[in-house]
This record gives sequence, C-alpha cells and structure tokens, in this order.
Amino acid sequence: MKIPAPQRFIARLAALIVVLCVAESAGADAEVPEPRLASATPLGGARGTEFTVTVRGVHLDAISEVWFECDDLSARIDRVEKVKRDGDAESDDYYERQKRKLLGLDGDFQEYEVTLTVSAQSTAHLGLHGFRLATPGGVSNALGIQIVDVPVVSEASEVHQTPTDAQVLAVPTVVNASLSTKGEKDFYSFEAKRGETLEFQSYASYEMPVSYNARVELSLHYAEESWFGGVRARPIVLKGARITWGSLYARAPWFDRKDFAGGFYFYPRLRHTFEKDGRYLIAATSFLGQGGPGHDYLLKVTRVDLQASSSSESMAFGATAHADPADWLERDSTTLRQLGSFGLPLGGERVAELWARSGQKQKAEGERAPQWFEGAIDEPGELDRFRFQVEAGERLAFEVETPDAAPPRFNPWLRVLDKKGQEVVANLYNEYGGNGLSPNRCVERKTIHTFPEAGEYTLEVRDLTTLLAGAEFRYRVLVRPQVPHLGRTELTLGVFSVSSILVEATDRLNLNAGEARKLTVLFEKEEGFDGDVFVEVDDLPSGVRVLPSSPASWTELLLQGIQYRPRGVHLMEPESHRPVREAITVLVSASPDAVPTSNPRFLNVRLRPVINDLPGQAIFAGRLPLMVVAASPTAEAASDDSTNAEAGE
Amino acid sequence: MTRSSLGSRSQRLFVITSVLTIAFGFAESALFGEREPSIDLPQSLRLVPDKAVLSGVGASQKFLVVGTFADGIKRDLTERARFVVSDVELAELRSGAQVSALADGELVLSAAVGALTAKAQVQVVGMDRERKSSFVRDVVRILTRHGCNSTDCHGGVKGKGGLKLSVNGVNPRSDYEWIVQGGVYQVTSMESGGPRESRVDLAFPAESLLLQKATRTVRHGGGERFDTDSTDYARMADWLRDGAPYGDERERIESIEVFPALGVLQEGSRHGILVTARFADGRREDISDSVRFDSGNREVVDVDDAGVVRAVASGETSVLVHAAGHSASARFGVISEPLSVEEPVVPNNFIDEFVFAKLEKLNIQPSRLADDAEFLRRVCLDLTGTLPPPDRVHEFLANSDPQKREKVIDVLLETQEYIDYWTFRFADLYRVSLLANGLHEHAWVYWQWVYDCVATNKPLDEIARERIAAQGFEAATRHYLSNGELPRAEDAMAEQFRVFMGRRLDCAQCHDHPYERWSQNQFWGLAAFYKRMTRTESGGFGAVVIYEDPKGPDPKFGLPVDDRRVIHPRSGEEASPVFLDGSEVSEAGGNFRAALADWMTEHPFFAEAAVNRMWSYLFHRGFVEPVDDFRPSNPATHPELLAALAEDFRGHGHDLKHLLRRITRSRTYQLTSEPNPSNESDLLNYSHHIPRPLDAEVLLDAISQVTGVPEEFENRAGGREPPGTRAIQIRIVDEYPSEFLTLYGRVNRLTVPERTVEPNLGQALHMLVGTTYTEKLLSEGSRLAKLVGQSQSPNENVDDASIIEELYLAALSRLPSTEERGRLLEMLRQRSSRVESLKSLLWALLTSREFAYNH
Repeated sequence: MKIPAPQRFIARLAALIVVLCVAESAGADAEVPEPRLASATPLGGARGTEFTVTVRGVHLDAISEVWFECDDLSARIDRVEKVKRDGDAESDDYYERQKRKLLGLDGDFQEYEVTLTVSAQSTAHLGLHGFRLATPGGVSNALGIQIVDVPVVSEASEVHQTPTDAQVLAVPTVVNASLSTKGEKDFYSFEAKRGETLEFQSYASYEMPVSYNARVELSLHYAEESWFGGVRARPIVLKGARITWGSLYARAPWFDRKDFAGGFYFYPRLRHTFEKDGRYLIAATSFLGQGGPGHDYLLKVTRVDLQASSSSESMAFGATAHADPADWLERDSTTLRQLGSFGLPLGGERVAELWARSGQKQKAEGERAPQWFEGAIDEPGELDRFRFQVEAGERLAFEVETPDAAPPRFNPWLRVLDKKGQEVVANLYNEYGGNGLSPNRCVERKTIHTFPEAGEYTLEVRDLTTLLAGAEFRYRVLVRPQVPHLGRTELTLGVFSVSSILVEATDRLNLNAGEARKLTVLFEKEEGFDGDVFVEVDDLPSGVRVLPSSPASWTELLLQGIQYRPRGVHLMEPESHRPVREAITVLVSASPDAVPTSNPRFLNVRLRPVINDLPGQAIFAGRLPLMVVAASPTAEAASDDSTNAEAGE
Repeated sequence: MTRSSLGSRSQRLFVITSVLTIAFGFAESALFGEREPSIDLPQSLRLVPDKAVLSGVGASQKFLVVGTFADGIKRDLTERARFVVSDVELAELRSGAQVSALADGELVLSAAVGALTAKAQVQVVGMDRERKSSFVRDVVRILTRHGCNSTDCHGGVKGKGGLKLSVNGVNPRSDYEWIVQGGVYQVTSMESGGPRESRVDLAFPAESLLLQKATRTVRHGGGERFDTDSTDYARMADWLRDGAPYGDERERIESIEVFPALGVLQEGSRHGILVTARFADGRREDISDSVRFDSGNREVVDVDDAGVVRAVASGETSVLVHAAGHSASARFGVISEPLSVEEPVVPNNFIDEFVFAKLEKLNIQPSRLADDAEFLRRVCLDLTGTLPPPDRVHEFLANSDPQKREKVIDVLLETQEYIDYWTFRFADLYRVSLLANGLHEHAWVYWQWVYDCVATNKPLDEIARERIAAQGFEAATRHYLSNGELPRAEDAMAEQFRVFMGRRLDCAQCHDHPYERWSQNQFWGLAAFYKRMTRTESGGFGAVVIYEDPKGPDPKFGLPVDDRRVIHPRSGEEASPVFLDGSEVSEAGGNFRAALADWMTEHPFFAEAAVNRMWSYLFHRGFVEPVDDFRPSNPATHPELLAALAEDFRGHGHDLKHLLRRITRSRTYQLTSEPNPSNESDLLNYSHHIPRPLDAEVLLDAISQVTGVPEEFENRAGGREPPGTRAIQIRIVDEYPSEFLTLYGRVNRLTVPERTVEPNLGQALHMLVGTTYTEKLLSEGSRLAKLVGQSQSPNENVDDASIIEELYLAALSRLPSTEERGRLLEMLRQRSSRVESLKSLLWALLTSREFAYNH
C-alpha cells in the first residue's frame, strides 16, 4: 500500500518517538553502574617497595582489575568492604557534598573501600602514576599514586600539632599524612646544618574538588621559648616568591581534570639555606583551614645541591610519571594552560616537528634557516635587542621559551621594531585569558607576522615590569618561517554545562552494547594551515565502530568553553597570533551484539591532515579508556525494535 | 593610680569625666563673665619683631611688646607700653604700635613698660618708588581679609552667584579672569555657564560690580564687606583706576609666619598676633592687617579682626590665619591659675624636653611616672598587643635593675608577638582583606608581604616604595586588585597619599579643596602618575600581573579595561604627572609610579605622617588628629616635637623599631594615667597617659589569654584556624565572621580604616550573656578550672588568696591591693559556692574598664 506523504511523515515521526522512548527506557533499564573513585590513601610510596593503598568509591563491589598506565606498578586486591556511615552526621559536611558531586550522586549511596597492595618496581618512573579500577560496569575514573625515590614514612599516630610534639623526620624523606580535622596544623622537626639547603614540597590530594580550600600550605619555623610563656614556632622569613601560579596537572589521559588546570601554590617548592645548625620545624596546614576525610597530603623533604639543581619554579612533586603523547603545546593561553607552554623547549628539532604536523612531506625550497636569540633580563628594566634581516613578504613566527621563571613571574615581552623604531608586531594581545570571561592583555609565547618590506628589524626582549629581573629570567627566542600545521588537539566526550561554561567531561567510555556516544575532536589550525582534516580511530574492540559526523557546530562548542569559539565569533578584532579552532564529531557505537570486554583498553584517536588530496602523517590526538559493558536483554530488544521499524517503512 | 577597690578604675574615669564636665562648665560661664587677671611687672621686655624693613610707599609694621614674667609666662604688654620713634621724619606711629614709613632711613622704635624698655631697629627703603596697584598683591588680600574667597562664600565648591574664587586666593590667575573677564562658573566645565560680563568697569570704577557688591550698593548675598570710606575700598578703587592690572607674580606670597606660634594666656588676658609674609626675593612684609583670623574654639579663645586674641576659659586651641594663598595657625593655651612648680621632671630624651617645655608654658605639671606594673602592662599591650603573663609581672616587679624598662622594651621588640601585632596593625592600614584584594590568594600573599616587612623591620620608606610602585605578580601588587580589578588612578593615588603622607586630597578630585590649598589641578597631576599602570592576566584566573606600560594607553586595545587615561574632569584633557610643587616628570620614559614613590618618601610629609601615626598608636591620638588629616587648619599640638621626631626617624633610616624604642623610652610615655590637679582636663599635651579602650582583636585575645581558653575562628568556607590562633594573627579577616569583633569595632578594610571604639548596647549585652565573657570562664582547660581543681590537669591546693592574686596578675597585670584582697577573701568566705564566686570575680575583672583599657 502506498502511504501518502503526510501520513508517511507522521508514521515516521511516531516510529521515531517510539524508538526514542523505548531506547530511553531501555537505556535506563540497561544501565550498569560504572565504578567511580573518590579517594586513595596514602597518596604515594617509594619505588622498590610494596605498600597498602585504600581506595574509596561507589560501585566497587564487583571489582575485577586494577589497571595501571604502565608496568612499573601492579596491585593485588586484598579486600573490598562496604563503608559504614554514621547516619547523617556528615550529610552537611563540605567533603560529603563535594564527594557526591564528584561521584555524580544525589541520594543515598553505598560507599566501598578497596584495599590494595601496590608493588612499585625499583625502576619505576618517578611521579604520578594513574590507575583505574575495572568492574563489569566499566572502567572507573583515574586516581594517582605518587612514586618517589626517598624513604616514605607514615604520619605519627600521636598528635603533633605543636612545636614541642613535632614528629621527628630524618632527611630525606616523604611523609604520608593527612589533615584529619579542620584547622589541623602538623608540625615536623628535622636537623639542618649551617649552609645546608633543604627543599620542602607538598602534594595534596587533588581528586576531591575541595582542593581550592584544602590546598596544603607549608611554613618553615624554628622553635623558641616565648617571653610570654611556652614554646612557639617562629616563622622563618623566606626569600623569593611566596606564591606560584603553576600548572600542576600536566595533561594526561589518566587524570580527569577539566574543572581547572592551574592554580596558586603556596611555597610549592619551598627552599631554604639554613644559617646555623639546629633543629627546625616544617608545618603543614590547609589554606583556609580545611580538614577531614580525604584531606591527605605528602610532604617531601630533601637536600638540594644548588650547583646541580635547576632553579625552575615548576611543580616537580605531583607531575605525571608519563607524558601524554598527544600533549602538543603550542601557545594556548585560552585553554588556561599558557604558563606551561613557556617552558616548551625550542631546540633545533622544533621546525622539523612542525613540518611533521603540516600534512606535507618536506619544507619549502629556499626556506630561511631558523634563528635563536638568547639572553636573560639580569637587571630591572633591561631591554635586550637583536637585529635580523627580513625579505619582503616573508612570513615569520616568533616563539619564546623561558626555561626557568615563567609567567606570571617573568613575562617576556617581545617587540619587533622597524628601522624607525616603530613597533610592527609584539606578543601582547587582548585575550579572553584569565577567567575566560573578561578581556585582558596577555603575553603570548608565540606571535606571527608577515613583513611587507625587506630590511633590518630589531627584536626587543624585556620583562613586562621594570622592577623584576635576575638570573632565572632567562629566555630563548626562536625566529623561524611560519609552518602551516595542526596545533593542539583535545578529545571530549562532551557533558556540557551552560551555567558554568566549564566542561564537565568524562575521561572514559563505558559503552553498553547497542549504545553510541559522540566524541568530539578539537584541533587548532596554525599559521595558515588550510588543508582538510580527517579523524582516524583504531584499536577498536570487536563490535565497536566509529561513524563519521558533520563538523561540530560552533554553538555546541561554545557550550564547551568560551575558549573554543572559532574565528568569526571573536568579539575583538582578528589577531594574527590566534589559530583557527575547529572540531569534528564522530559517533562511537557499540553494536547490540558487541562482546563485553573484561578489561579496559585504549581507543586511539588520530588526525590526518590532507593537503591537495594527499594524506599527510597521522597526528596523535588522544586516547580514551574504553570498555564494552554487557547490555541487558531489554536494551537488545529495543535495538531490534528500532531496526525493525526502519525495515518496515 | 588609686587602687582602693575593684571598681576604682571606673570610678576614676568617672571622676575624670566629671572634672572635664566641670571644666567645660567653667569655660561656659567664663564666656559670660570676664575676669581681668592681675599682672605684675615683667622681668624682661622685648619688641617683636626686633627689626623690620619698611619697603615702599604705604609700608607699615605692627609691633608687639612681650614681657617675660616670673612665672615664666610671656604676656602681651602692647596695650600698656609707651612707644617712641627716634626719628619722626622717617616714620610715624599710628594706632597702637604700628609704624608707618615716611622717608628712607633708619630709626629705632622704643617701648617702655614701667622701668623696662625694649628697642627695635626699623629701616625705611624705596620711598622713591611709585607704588603700582596689583591684583595679586592688593585685591587678593582684600578678598581674603573680608572672607570673600572663603569656603562659605565665593571660595566654596560652586562659588556664589556665579562667581567662583579660589580658596583664600590660592589661584589668583583664575580669580583675576573670573573678575575681570567675567563669566558664570561651572563645576564640571572650564567654560562659562553664561555670557562673560566683566565685574569691573574701568571707565567708571565706582560702577564696578566688584565694588558695588562689596559695599552692598547692589544686592549682595554676602552683605556689606566694607564701606566706601574704608582703606580697602580706596585701594580697590585705585586698582581699577590704574586699569585693573594683574600685577607682578613676584608679589605673590611664598610663605607666612605667625607670632606667637604658641601663646599662653591667663583667663581674660589678651595677646596680639603678628603675621609676616615672605616673598621669593627674601623680602618680608607685615600683613597682619590683611588677613582673616578664626578661632578654632571660641570657648577657649576669641579673636577679633585685628588679630587680638582674648582668653575665654582654660583649654587649648588654635587661631587660624587666612592670608592670600596661605593658611597658618597660632596655638594658644589658656591656663586658670599659675601653679607652683614642684620638683623638676627629668627628661629621658628629646621627646620629654619638647613635651615638658610646653607643659611648663601651660603651667601644667606632668603626672608622676607610672609604677612598674602599669608600665609593663602598657608597654606589652602597645608593642605586642599581648598582656604580660603573671610570672613576668612578678619578675619585673621584683627586678631592681634601674635599666629594666629599657631592657624589657628591647626584649618585646624582638618577640614574635611584636611581629604578629604590628602585622595586624599594618594589615589594617594597608587593607589586607578578601574584598579589598580580590582573591583569597591575593589577600594571603599580600598579608605575607606585610608580615615579612614587619618581621625584617623593613624601613618604612622601602615599604612605601614597594607598595606604591609595585609591579609584577609580587605580593605588594595585590592591593591594587580590589575586587580583582585595578583601581581608578585617582583612587589609588588618593589612598597612597592618605596612608603615607597623611593628607586627604579626595575633595580636590571634583573641585579645588574646599578648606585647603589643594587644587583640582594638583590632584589630577598626582593622579596622572597612575595612568600607565595596567595589567595582564596571561594565565589562569587571578594570575594578574601589574606593570607600567611605557606607551601609555594603546588604542589598539580599545577596551574599557585598558583605558587608563587620566582625564581632568573640568578641562576634559588628559592630565600629565605633576608633583605638588609643580615640577613635572618627563612623559618620555621612566616609571611614573616609581618616581612618585621616590618623591613621596623623600618629602618631609612622609616622615611627619609616619611619626604622627605611630605616635597615635601609643598615645591614642596623634599630634595631628585625625592622623591622616594634616592641613594648616588642623595644626599639630606639638609641631616642633613632630618635626624633631620626624627628623630622628628619617635620620635613622625610617626604622620603625627605633621610633617605637625612642617613644616608649621617653618619660612622657611612661607617665602614669593618674592625673594630678593641674592636668586633669588636659587631653592634648601628654601630661598624663590617656586610657584608651583595647582594639577589638586585642581585647578578644586578652580575654582568651586570661581565661586560658583560645578562641576558635571558623571561616566562611567552613575551615578553621589552627587551635591557639589569636585574633591579631588572622590573615584574611573578612573571611572570619565574629560577633564579638564586630561589636567591639573591628574595621572594614575596604577603605583606609579609622578605628573608633564607641561603647554600645551590644557590648553591654555581650558582657552579660555573650559566649566570650561567659563560656570561657570555667570551661575545660581554663585557667580558673585548673586553679580550682576542676580540670584534668588541676593545680592542686591553690588557696583563695593565690587564685585572686593570679587572676589579678593575669587580667590587670598587678597585684590586688590589700583592701581588694581583704574584701574579696571576705566575700569568698561568705558565699556558699567558692567556684561560682571565683567565676564571678573573673567575670568582674574581665568586664572592668581597668581590663578593657590600656592605661
């Protein structure tokens, strides 16, 4: 029977509604709770040792595997227990509220505690190792275990909150400790000799979103008899920056940190050269006096050989053990990770690396050789100037590296001046930097310019301020031809919040059989790259496939964060230093008969630039842990119904 | 200090108040009934000035005859003196002791009182030179003398009737234009608000509006200022007939001097004032007849148009002198009856010399030295904000070392408590708070900077430079981030000026300062030093870097946040950086704020303001009060001492500890708060220590210290300060709400704080039922619980007398008097519950004024 067009449309619509309703209810019925981790205690251990780690979270009752990112670490599951709760005593507790938020739970829930024995090989990489737990419900979010190369001790069970009962430490050491009550201030004592330089670092539990308030604050003291009675801890006045703005959480697929990626650190690396022999105190407390369950921290005390050590202010303690292969730094202040990019080494291989991301096999004929200009702002207000020659029409890029001090302490201001001393380009731009909401001038680590006229130009380098300077204000400027290429990439599974703008993304893909999820690949086209870009996904388990989709709409991208507005959406004038930001969305789909996976595996995503219909070298864009979870019979039925409806049309 | 009973402090304060009330009552009655004091013959006599140069036609000089009497008081005997000039061809005597020039030459003026005579040399020059009329010299003086350019007339913000004159003729050029060219003044524009019609008529001078208004020939809201027969009318008419010339800028007065700087009068007596102008070429001129006098307190002294001051009732005040372009003051103390000098007081240092010299002039006997207990409590609270513990009081009282006060000062200056307390003080002044600094982290590091400054005893000029010219991500920059945003240039400058120079320029932002000589141009000239201050936020939220953009505002950025141009509101033009003295900074380069910081810290205002502020922390008032309101019309009580202390401070590298040591070692500081009959009503001259209420934070800490129960401080984020944290140690104060601190006057740091602790009902209620005063008394671990054996670690076998003694020592830093001890023991014997009685005793101690005040 021939069905008239209007009725046919209505029938299709009705069928679609039925399918959607059934699919939705099937999805609800089929939902197998995925495991979610809240905390791991202690936060670290020494390599070459075995230590116990207690993990808390929900839906951990059927844990099948502990999945580490490398073979350096392994774990044995000793015990899985339900956590007994003391009624609603903590229901209003800030920690509890944050935990619910983290775990995505509204109502009551059952928390589990998993006891692991972790073995760290003697050759284990130092740094933060991510791990996840797998259950039939899928793979969990990741937590980290810090592996160190000095003896690890536990915090004393006795109270040590005054100078007189400070826990005695032998240097070097790492203390596994916690701030178990609000306002707790833990004191540790140690011996130091005259002229000896010690370094103190803390690494706080970051899994809980309480970290803003729970950040560990270190302070150095000596104990003295007070004229007013008792013994008190007298702070030692320290030289150097009190506060650092650092990017603690290096990008890694193991760590789900999209809420904020930078932050203040109080004495992130507190160093002090002692003026006399004696017993001193290091105190750890929480900024704004937080404390309670999950407020764990590591305190590392080591001796420093000043001759051998770098003066870097980066946060070494807490850095990831393994770099993310997809972590390509360009200059991305708009993603709030600008500060790390100033440390990007600009060595001899830099141009070759760029060409590798260009989609082209080799650089252009007769291209100019890169030039490097190095120096340091030794004196306040110093202006360093370098001359260079330019051909008419030449397109150049200027990149700056500050290997030691970086913004916001050292803000390298580059200006290119013509023969008349007029500025032709600089690296100071209006950006939606900072909070991403209001425009600010920002120092960029890269700027590009096309020179209409040939001749001699001057590169001027200075600090933004006229007060700050020093040996750590080192810089290296690379002047090179522009290379059209693909810059930074990022994967997102897109759970977006309009109100907060921030992306509440998940870092894993637990697919029910018959389920599909959109995966968006964000990428930046740099320095005039105008080729096509294709997405490749490999290492797919059986029954999982990737379907191409249309380019992501900018309105959707806007929800992912204001930083990703593509060109044309900027409210300000076009700026030459900005890349073109684009995104491609694909659908990751598990067929109804996809075989559930017992262990997680990585799904690898690559971008392939195509120039003049010629595919270039694939660029690693990121990877996601994936598990196929057994679908319920209802879900399969719904999927079948859907297929039938389409066939019957 | 009388210590006869527990309530003695409050009783004494009541007595003091009563005495003051009675004193004011006398003052009031004295207004209605004058008494001529009996005056004996002086011991010596002198003419003031002792030499004078009369330059040009019409020049004259007023003289005063001053006699020094046996009681040490210098009295004005001009009215009683007989005068003679040695050559009547050269000069003549006019009314009183005014000598007018007749011909070039030299003569001698003699004055005689009884058998005593005094002489003055007078030189007459320039009588052959024609005297040309001048606006800048003649008219401005007339306008000033008659109050035409005062703030309540044409010198007001908006002027009057369309005519705006600068206050006291500080800007004669613009005054000249408004008078000669005419026009209607507008506050917000340089343009005239109506047609420009001149206020002078050169063809028919008498028809000039200027004269017609002043003589009220036409309607004049200000009434008649002078009549057509007056000298001033004639002089103004001459000026008009001469073509209304502006005159020579060299005729502008450079500075003025007033005699006497400090006068001591007995009730009912009189004293003349001489005002001398100095000009750029070094010339001096008597301008006593062309200034306006105002009494600062007519209940103390009155002053007539001729500058004759009449003592009304005992007290101290200033007579303000408004001259063309300048203001100054003379200070007068009125004493009731001369007192016989008791034993001489021995100064400890130069502070005492200045203070005691003035007291001697005022016939005020300083109180005795505070006893050791009073001194120790005071110096501990002043230097550390902390009460001395009982064992230290015992130790100090038992110490017979004559240098023990100096030594304990030195000890206290090196304590951690000193650092905590002065960090709190400066965190107040420099405004460390969440709201004032934008982010928790900003407030934290800014507080840390203040802490480091105090802990390292950083020189104050260095602190000021770091704060004013702060750049980068450094801690001192964070105060420029109120609510996370840069302040407006004018606000930033005005605050720094107030904090470091003790001057309030804010009024001059919208108009010339209504009371002082600060002009709108000066204000915007200073504000322009901030026009290059800008910011980046290259990294994450809050990573704000402040710097000076040498290019200034860059149109490329074109955003409000970058528009740091400083626009003069009246001219609409961008202001250029100009120091107060008119010197400019090159626009070509340099760091404007650094230049401003250098200029400010090297300016005499800087040390003067710093010393005044620090003095106020120790004496509850500055030489100038409010401490950041220096102005000619608000003169210092002890200008010479202020200058000497400022010089000493500067000479010792702006070392705050040195300054504190210098002051606390003085005998003046160490005087008891117990007044004597001669100084009961004296609140200005440091004849005795004036008790003052403890600041909220210090009081709360003191209660915690005495009870032995630390306060718990919980913040808005639900976190807590570590146990034992004191109120003065809290870093981000607005994150820690406290009913007690609010009730007792914790300040809001959004603006430059002014602590004024006023008693209120809330405090009274809190004393009765508030947790601070009730729950700490006997809670677990408290001092009292330990003493009475109710604690887990009790002090066994402590008898009542010992407990009373310890509570007295802890709270009042002294032992109970015999009477107090006896009565309290008797009370304890009569009460059924020993513990409750002791608890009541502790409550009574904590709620007493003796506890709550630093005395």
